[in-house]
Amino acid sequence: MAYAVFGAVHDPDTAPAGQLAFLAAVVVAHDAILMPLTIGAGVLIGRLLPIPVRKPVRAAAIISLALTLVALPFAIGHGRRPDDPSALPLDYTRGLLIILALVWAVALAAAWHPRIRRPHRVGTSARRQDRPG
Amino acid sequence: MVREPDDPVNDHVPTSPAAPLVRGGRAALRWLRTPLPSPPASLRRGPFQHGAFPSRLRSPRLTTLLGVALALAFGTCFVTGLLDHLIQHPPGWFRWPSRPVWLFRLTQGLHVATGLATIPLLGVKLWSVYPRLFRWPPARDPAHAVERLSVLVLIAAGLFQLVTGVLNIALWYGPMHFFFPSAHYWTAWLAIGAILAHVGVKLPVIRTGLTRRPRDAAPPGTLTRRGLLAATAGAAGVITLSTVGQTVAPLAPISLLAPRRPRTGPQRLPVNRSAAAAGVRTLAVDPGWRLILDGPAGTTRLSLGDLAALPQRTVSLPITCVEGWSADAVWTGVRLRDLVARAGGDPHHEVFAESLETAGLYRSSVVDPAHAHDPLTLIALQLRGGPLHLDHGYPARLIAPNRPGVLQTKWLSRLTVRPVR
Repeated sequence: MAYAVFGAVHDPDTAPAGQLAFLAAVVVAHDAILMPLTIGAGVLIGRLLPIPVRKPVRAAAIISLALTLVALPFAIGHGRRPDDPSALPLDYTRGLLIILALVWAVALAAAWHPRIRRPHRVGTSARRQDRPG
Repeated sequence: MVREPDDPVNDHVPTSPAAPLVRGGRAALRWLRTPLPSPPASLRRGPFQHGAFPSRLRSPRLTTLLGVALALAFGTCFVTGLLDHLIQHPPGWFRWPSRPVWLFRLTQGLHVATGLATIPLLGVKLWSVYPRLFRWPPARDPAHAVERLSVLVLIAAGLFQLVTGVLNIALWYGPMHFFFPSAHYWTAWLAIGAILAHVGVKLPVIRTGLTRRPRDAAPPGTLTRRGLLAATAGAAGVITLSTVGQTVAPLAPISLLAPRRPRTGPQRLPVNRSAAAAGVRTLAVDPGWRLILDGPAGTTRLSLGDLAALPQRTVSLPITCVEGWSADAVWTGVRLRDLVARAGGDPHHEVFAESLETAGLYRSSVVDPAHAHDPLTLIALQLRGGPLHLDHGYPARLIAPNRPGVLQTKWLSRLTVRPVR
């Protein structure tokens, strides 16, 4: 770690102030904004949705959040340059929406799958066995 | 009652020169362990309260498993990234081979793909340890405060690498008020150092986490530990599949978020630096352009016609960008080693290639003897059977096997054959 600080200070190409600001900004953005929102979303899922769909929704939400964070810089597209059409050539917003739709389709299909709904049936079959034959 | 006699022996033992250091060291250790006063209990509100984070999903096992995955991921990124750095800034002892042709393609593609897949890993790991941000008291003693500071450095450096990496491949330099290559490089050392320190400190927890498996039961509607790990792996998989098509061409059709398509661009090859951006549009098409070949046998000036009249070779070599994408292409031109021989050089000489581009880090490159002598290394005049497009380096560019794209100098103006510096 000392090598890193030493090297960065002595490298003429570095801008320590800008780097330190960025280092601080990513931590703050994560700890003070991203984490509370994620935890809050988890709580909301637990409060608002019926039990059978919660698990697939939680999994799909995790995947969606990660994917959206990665796709955001491409979708915003500030990196595109008029002199170079081969850079960032795709429609990234459309691509993100298509992938998100696929993820949620899989998640909701899993939610409707009988295997996930079974926990509510176990009690009834046990009661049937207790009835006098 | 027996009184212990004074011990005459120890009273007269001469103290060693190291004694003050040992005493000082012991005093420092004691100071590090002196308890710090804890803040008033009335401040313990909100997330600082006991039980503020009720999720039972958090456990040492979850954190340890994610930690192992992160160590592997960051380790891979570090090694592949360091390699890229060494190739571009070779210290005296470093030798990068010219074969296999696809090696740099593999390492750099792996670097970017691993970095992207690490994003959900780090996210879930930070979720699992988030309650520790609000521990009470905030610092038990100075040693504890130092440890917490080192974790802050670890998190900052890890997030920095991932975020700047994504911004770089999205070509979005605005938010980065620093020179990306050097900042990303030095922070890599910071991150690796912090990871090693972290693993050292946490070894006992790691051992428990790997051996003890708490029950993986969860209340209905919440994910189990396995479920969360599967979701994390799923996120990494989705991210990888949607971007890796920029490196692995057969997957390009499904990689809807790939920053590049291997066949999109002039002459079906992507461009990073255009002729307009390099400021060479007029210079490159000037009929008076000559390639100046400088060497022990003197200086010659070769026109495009002169170069085309020399024996031509056609080779298939990829362009591999440091941003992770790579694309195959077929080049036709003069072998660099033929030009080196013409200039009076031998297999031990290196070649200093300069571009018409006057400003910028990549206006020149040094071709080491191994690459200069490789029969695949060309001064290319044609791409896919047609004259080089202006954005691909017309009238002539360097193309060598197993090298990053920034070292494949375009719009060549001068080649200097010289002994190795």
